[in-house]
Amino acid sequence: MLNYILRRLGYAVIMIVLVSFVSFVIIKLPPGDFLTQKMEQLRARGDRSAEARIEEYRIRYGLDRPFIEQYTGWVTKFIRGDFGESFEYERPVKDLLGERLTMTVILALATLIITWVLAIPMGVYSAVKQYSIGDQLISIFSFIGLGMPGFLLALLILYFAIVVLNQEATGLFSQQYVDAPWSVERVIDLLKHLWIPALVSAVTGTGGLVRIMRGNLLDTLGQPFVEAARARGLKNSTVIWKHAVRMAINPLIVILGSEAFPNIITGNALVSIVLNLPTIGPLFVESLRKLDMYMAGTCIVFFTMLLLIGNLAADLMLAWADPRIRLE
Amino acid sequence: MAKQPKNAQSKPVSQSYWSLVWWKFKKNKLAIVGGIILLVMYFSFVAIPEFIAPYALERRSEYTEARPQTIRFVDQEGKFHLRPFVYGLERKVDMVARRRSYVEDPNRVYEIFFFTKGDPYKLFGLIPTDRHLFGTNSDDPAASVFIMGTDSLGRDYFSRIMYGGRLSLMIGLIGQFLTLLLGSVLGAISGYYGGTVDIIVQRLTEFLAAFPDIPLFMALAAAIPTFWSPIAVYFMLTLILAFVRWGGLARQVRGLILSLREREYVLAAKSFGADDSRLMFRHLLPGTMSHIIVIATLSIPGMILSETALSWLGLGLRPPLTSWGVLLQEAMTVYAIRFAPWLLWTVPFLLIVIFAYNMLGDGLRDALDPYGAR
Repeated sequence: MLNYILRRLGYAVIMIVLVSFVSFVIIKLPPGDFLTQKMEQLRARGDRSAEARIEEYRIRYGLDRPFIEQYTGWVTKFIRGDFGESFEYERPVKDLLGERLTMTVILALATLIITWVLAIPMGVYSAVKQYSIGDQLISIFSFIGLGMPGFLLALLILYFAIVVLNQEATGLFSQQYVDAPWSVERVIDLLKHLWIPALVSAVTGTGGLVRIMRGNLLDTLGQPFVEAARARGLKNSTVIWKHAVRMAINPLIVILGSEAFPNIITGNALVSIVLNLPTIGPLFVESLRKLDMYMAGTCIVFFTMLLLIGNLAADLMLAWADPRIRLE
Repeated sequence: MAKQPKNAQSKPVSQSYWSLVWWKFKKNKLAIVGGIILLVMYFSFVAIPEFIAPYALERRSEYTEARPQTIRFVDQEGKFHLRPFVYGLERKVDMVARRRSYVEDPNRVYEIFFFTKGDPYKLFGLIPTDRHLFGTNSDDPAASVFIMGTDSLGRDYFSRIMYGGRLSLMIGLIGQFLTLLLGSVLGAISGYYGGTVDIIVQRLTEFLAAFPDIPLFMALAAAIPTFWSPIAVYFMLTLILAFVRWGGLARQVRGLILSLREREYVLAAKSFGADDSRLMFRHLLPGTMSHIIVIATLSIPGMILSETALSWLGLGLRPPLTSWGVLLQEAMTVYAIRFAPWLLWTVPFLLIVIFAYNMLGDGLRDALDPYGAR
């Protein structure tokens, strides 16, 4: 077991190094860099000392050195916990990400809890009462959720909130609470804003989970061990929740690790941009557009890490939940 | 498609695979509806948007961010008219909010005619004509018909949605075609030959899977040089979409080929002296066809949405190219949603396409396994 984990971790490290290198190459692909973009801006503004200042920046950020040197320099610093400096904000990437990390994680966890708390009972109900009206309604809802892209739904809900409810709907806090210390009013204000991202994830996130839960449980309910449990005279709820669901939930564990966990940071960047949420997603997109390469590179490396760790965690959890599965 | 005998029950003729598929597909009403919606949409958005749109793509009017004009049948006195009409727009300036807006002026009535003369264009890119599906048939520039309002440059939004649909819908098809080509050929080679080729392809797909896909899209799209011509950007974007997505398909095709390779009919073909390419393209790939078709249909909406999202973020297509994503850029601000919510009209069109593809794909999935119990 330990052997297996070590091998997977070693594999993950190689993968991360490769990904970081390739993402560095990709960011370097377009002609010019952040500074050429900035120089154009300064020139357009009629700044005469533009060239000299840009040259100064170029040396400060090490952009004058050859590509490989830039990469190795960044990687060695990265291992020591220094992710480089964002050109755009002229501040360390670490601080910028750190500021947004709390909100990103809170939002991701809230999303996760909402989708799972909704999806599992809905899936179970749908399977137990197959072809009932409730099942049909849940099926329609989950098909809509499966097809519905989050950022379009967010746009529509935003329209509803702004035009119909006449509510200020973007961001997580109203103006006066953005920098205020935590208080009861601030939490209430947060909840007033949180319902939109919550609703978006409830619609788009649950669809797939409900379908999987329903399908698996239907398969499980037809198996002899469920019949045996019934024959022993166990209560219906015990048979369903302790015997059938316990078995049918395994594939969802894989999804929890491989999708939900990496989403803590990727967490629907598009929805966050529409709703102007203070998470890491919009920061990342902005950095790609501006060729802010240390910021973009750091984000990509973290996404990949979470994805790989999530996959490993999913496999381990599955082995723990279902002893018949062998990892070797 | 083979013809279906009228009474399949009483004639115990053996049915070909495809006629069974068609028979089963026909029974799924939702899938038929999805298919018809798509046919109609592709025809009107890709083949003849110039005809349906009342105005040319870049035709500007003096009405900027004008609200949609309602198409009416009943006039102020409550009289019903068989010919639909719109009221003219009148500028109103809100001194407090310092905004210009437009209201409908019931005193100016413009009737709507079908097959009217308007901006000249070439039908199918060949036949020069100036007929449009509908319009006000008047030379007066105030006689406008903006059924979905106008954008900030005074361009008719409905016309722009019609033109934008062409790029958005085509990128789904072209991109998916390239994905299929890459995915099935590489998957088939990797499954058929095994060995070194297999290992290389496998590692490549694993590497692509290890990259989080939305960031990969964005990073690659951000790498398209800004000075490229719009057409080059369009093709590059299509290539990127295909490049990121072929991995999953390649793995599935590889799995299918691995199992088909051991079947007796393949052995028979081999013993008749069929060479590798014949075996692969005549015997193995057709066996994976039904699977590939289903995956393709179900992943086209993802393709269309990726283009929309990228263009909307400013990483994909850029004006003067017009796609639905480019159109959505304008609808992004809270200001636009509050004061010009008609700019969101793109969203329903996108959703219709996506749901139609899902309905069709779902029906195909059931139908392509006609021997199955379901």
